[in-house]
Amino acid sequence: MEPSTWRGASEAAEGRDTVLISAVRFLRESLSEILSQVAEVRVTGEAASLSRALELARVADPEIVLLDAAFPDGQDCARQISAAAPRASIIALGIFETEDDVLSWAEAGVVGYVPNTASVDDLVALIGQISRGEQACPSNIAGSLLRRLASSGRAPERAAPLASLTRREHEILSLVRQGLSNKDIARRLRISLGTTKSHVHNLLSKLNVQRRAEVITQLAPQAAGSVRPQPPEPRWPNQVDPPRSFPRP
Amino acid sequence: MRAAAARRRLPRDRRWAVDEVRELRAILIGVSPLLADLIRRSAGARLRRAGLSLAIIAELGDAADLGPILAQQSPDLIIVGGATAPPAPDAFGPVPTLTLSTNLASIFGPGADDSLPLTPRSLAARLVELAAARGPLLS
Repeated sequence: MEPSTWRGASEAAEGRDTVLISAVRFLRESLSEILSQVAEVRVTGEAASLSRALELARVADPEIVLLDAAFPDGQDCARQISAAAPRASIIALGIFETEDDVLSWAEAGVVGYVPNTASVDDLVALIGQISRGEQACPSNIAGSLLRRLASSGRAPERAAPLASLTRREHEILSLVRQGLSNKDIARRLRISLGTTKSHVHNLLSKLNVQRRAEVITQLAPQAAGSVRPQPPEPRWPNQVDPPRSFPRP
Repeated sequence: MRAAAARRRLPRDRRWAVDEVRELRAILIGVSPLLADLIRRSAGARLRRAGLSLAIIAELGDAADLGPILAQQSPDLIIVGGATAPPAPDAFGPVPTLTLSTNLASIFGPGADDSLPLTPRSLAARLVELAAARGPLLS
């Protein structure tokens, strides 16, 4: 088998710790074999279930998570992994490259995606690009992302983010403001740590803040619903042109 | 590993020499490009160890496009994706057909009752069996 490499990744001295998540054994095994030939990637674990994926995310602390887009409740899985392994770059693998699909995965917390029309060489190249914070995508997708960002800036949730919180998220918010850790919150509410992390992740996302400390500093002196909006940090640097620039072998 | 061991057990005159690599020509139907490439690479590496190569000569979205290609290309096998059940044995004439279940958990075919969990190893093994059934060196 010809070892694959990604372009411009020579700065990577050793492979990036990567976890594969798919319910499909063929996909896990074949990808693992192929990526084991790639110097810049080091597959440190595979998961076929959400519980195993979350365990790996916490224990292996991967840099890259390749998440099969066909994984059951995949977008919820992405959210939970994002909360459990904050430093991991989650890449959705094999998505249908429609505007709705890409946007919903982006909102679930993935930093990049590989369309199901890509080849394995494309995949390897894209892992390299995405781990450098890049994502090639068609212009219509980039346009949709910009429109979505623009409209979210005008949405009522932006003006009154607390209004969009669920009752449980209000409970979590209250405990976060008291300075409780995730573990303490889980114990207090009698829910699992993973669920707690997921709630906290969603909470931070709805409040448009990056860290829980910001929840305390920004919300404490203010009335509910008047959170000062932070400029959104774009997680998908968009390449508007050319419309499609996946490298071909 | 297993293929290499099996190869060592063959009498010397039945081993496949490097220059006797035989191409297994396949047509894929309803298989995404990413999955096709995974099949090409993962099965291809194992087939090479058995003295075979896998050539995907066409990737079709729909079986309706198959007619002219079947006549022109004479494939050794057809691999169909997204199946919920094995195809009829004569679905594509005499060309043996493997189908991949929709959830990619199983391979069906070529016989009506043939079914295996889909893994890179099992797929390659099935391809080697098909080649053995058609190839002169292993007949």
